[in-house]
Amino acid sequence: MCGIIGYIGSNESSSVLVSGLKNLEYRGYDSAGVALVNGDVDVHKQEGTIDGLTVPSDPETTHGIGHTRWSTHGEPTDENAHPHTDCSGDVAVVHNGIISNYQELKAELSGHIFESDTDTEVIPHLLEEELARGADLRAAVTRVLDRLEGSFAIAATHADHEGIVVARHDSPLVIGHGDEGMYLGSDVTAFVEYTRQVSYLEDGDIAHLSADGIEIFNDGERVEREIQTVDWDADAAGKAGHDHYMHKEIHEQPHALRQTISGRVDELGGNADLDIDLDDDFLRTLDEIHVVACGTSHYAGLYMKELLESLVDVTVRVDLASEYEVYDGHDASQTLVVAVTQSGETADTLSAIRRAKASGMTSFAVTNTVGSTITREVDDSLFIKAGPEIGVAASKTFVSQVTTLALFTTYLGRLRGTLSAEDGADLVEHIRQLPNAVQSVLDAEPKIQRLAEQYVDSDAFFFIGRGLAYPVALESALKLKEISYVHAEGFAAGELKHGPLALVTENTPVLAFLNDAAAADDTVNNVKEVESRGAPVIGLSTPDETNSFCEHSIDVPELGRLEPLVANVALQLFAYHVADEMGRPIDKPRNLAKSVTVE
Amino acid sequence: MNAIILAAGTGTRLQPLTDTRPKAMLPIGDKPLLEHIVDALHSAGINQITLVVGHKRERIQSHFQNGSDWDVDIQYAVQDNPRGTGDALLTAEHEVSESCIVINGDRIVEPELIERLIQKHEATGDACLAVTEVEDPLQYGAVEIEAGQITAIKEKPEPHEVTSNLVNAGVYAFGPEIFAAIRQTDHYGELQLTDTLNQYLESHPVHAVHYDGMWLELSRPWDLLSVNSGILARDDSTVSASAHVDDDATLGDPVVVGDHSRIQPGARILRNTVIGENVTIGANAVITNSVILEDAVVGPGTVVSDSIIGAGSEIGPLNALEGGTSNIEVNGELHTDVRFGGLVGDGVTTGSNVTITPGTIVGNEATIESGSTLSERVPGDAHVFRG
Repeated sequence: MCGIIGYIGSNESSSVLVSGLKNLEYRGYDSAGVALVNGDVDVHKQEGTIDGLTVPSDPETTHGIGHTRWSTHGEPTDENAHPHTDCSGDVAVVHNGIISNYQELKAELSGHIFESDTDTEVIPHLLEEELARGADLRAAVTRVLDRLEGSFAIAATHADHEGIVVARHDSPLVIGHGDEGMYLGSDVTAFVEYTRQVSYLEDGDIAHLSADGIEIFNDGERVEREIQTVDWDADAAGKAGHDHYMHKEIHEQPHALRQTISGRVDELGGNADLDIDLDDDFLRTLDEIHVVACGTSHYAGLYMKELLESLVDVTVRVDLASEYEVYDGHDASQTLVVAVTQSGETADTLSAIRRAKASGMTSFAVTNTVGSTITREVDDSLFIKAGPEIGVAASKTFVSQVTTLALFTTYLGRLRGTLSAEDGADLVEHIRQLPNAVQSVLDAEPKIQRLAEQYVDSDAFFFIGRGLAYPVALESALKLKEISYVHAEGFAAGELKHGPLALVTENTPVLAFLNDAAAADDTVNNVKEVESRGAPVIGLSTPDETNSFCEHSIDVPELGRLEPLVANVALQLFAYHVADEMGRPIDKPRNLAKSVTVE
Repeated sequence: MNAIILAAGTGTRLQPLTDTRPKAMLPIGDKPLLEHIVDALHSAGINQITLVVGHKRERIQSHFQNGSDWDVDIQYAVQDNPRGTGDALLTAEHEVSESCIVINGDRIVEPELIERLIQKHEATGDACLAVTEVEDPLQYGAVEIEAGQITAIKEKPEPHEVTSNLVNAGVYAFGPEIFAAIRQTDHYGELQLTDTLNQYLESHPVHAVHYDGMWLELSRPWDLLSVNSGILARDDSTVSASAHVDDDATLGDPVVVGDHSRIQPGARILRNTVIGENVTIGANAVITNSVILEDAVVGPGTVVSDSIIGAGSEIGPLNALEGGTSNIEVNGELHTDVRFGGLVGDGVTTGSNVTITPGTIVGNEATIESGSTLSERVPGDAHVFRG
């Protein structure tokens, strides 16, 4: 996972590149660099954050590429930072992804001097050889690509060749068409402050950017890619007075949910009004749904499984995308595979979807990102409309994902006739009340903050829940792990006594989901188990009910099957304040990146 | 020219509404009060705004972000504890390097006043203060003026101290030297901007800018109704395209119906009513001169007049908030003969046939059983039974 930026036009390039790298920082931030091109190639790169990178400004230099790195091959060092150059120093290359055959290629380049441990560095040296044979830059890139295996997006430039040549092979690359030049980026946020006119490259595309335009080729043929206008707000990338993006995004949830729900709730019909192009007959008759996702999106998928299996007569299987294998034993033509991915670029999820499609399944994506790779690969997509999320740890996108999946459940249940209009109306009424319920949890932030401060020094935190609350327990534990680095685990409450109870001490707070829709009465017994071992318990439930005997309680408004989801918001705040109290870099937890585009 | 909006206060007189949100985020017409101020500043040509925020500030930040939707650049300065308007201004000092407009975040004025303050300040280089005429100056900061300059500001003066009905309108133009003046102010307790001005005007000219345009100030619960009718009198009715108004429902004029709200058959929404986002008004309910905040539900047959219903509250069927006059105590001050039906906080649930008598204030998250009659104050989280 890395970020690429490039610019060629009439303005000074260094400021465009540096601001682009700042915007892409969430994709990776252990080292960064730029190559400025003006008769020669001037590379500035180093290990560390983008703030630490000094780039000279020269109004005459209006052409360059940049990169922010998240290490896969080779440690974060100055040498391993991109851009990489050839022996002459005339070719500069930035790369996102993995070159899987780089060791063989490196062996073939025996006469060349390598300065880094990266897979990337083979590319400038291969280009050097092609250029020495008289090829121009685009021809050289085309020939080198034939020799590369893996998934990648690259951008190359040269001291004596005009423009920037870019190529996309399984890693995203977006072109920006501005009044003052052409931009390229791993995603739109890289340059959206300069232009909103974008085109998305497709796999196999090789494009030549010059100051006044772009030529795109695929398989040797000249092609055009549609120019679209993005409505993403570049400015939403500001923290708006919050200390962290994550805090801003947690507080944006009522607004994000209103967008997610807007126009999709049909209360009178007890249905969800969704724009789904999949064939109704197929949806009515399908036997099985496979959900493939990673991390937080996987937990959103588990939540949907609980909803679907109780409300819609369909078998649901939820797999971690990296573990998903398609075996016999089910009818692929009657199976829908659903990919859940915030970015739409998650490599593991893309790869799982490709395996599912190859076996003949119909595919569907639930994502936040219009124009992302997954939306071009699946049969149909549904957008969660949460708006951009910058904090590496997902908050509002989880809640919007589950809400969108609950709408999809309603739609499917009504279509298949297993969900009555009355039950459908109950579910959509709860969806309608979500923004306000989430707001009321946010209003209780001071109390949640005090609990976080009280228990910040604990040895570990355990989250327990049943049914719909089990995936939320997993997600809440993941959130705490991600941003505080404290040991945290989510357990199905009934599993405690089968093992994890051995971990419970008076210094391991237990956070228990006591929601009516999640078998609260049974979980109460587990609360008593841990209390008798001396663990402090924080209960999450509607006021005045089962949480009265817990040491602490956090009130969650009554909201039927969506109540555990609302409880998650309280635990986002809990995780945030634990991490903040510990002084962690909440928006950029160590070793993590926002969207993971390597497998 | 920059602008600083003071919006950090706790708004205690507007509790319980301000327990969960800043006063400046209460709805006036189809948007929060603060948005009217931002719009006025923008219309007057100001595009750099610093919001001083504190109490429940996340609501303001989530709404305005960095201001790009309003074509202005918004910065935030945080005043964590309320220590007066002078102290609030100091928290914004690092955002402002030149002259600035300062406005309290609880009043709506027209852009014309901002423009005139800017002109006066640019022409004289001195501090300028807007003054406006009110019926009852005893509630405000009465000003004395000689030869166009302010000579004294008296907060909540005694009747014999008042020589005119002119009061401080709470809108100023200052040069950057105001910050030094605030720091040098002798004060006891909170550091108020008017304390600074009273000391400052002894040795510096402070020009009065007379203003007789729209000046709406929000201070007590019933002001929310009068400020709304003031704005509705200026603007036309606004019914969101995403709202669903049944063919058999009646909309009076002027009214506001927010996004995704549903007005069911037979319901009547009459003059000076503001319905927020995602609100349900049940069949045959009648709402007059009232403000219904977001996500609330008003049951069938319920009558609501001269009243405020908080966010997410569920008012049962056949409830009556019929309006009228009463005596109401707010923060130790008794207000007599106030025309005010009642205030129901956020997240309140009522059963059927509940009567809420004029002047009642119901705290957040209270639960009221069927058949109850409420008066005066009902505390938050209370559970009220009949009998």
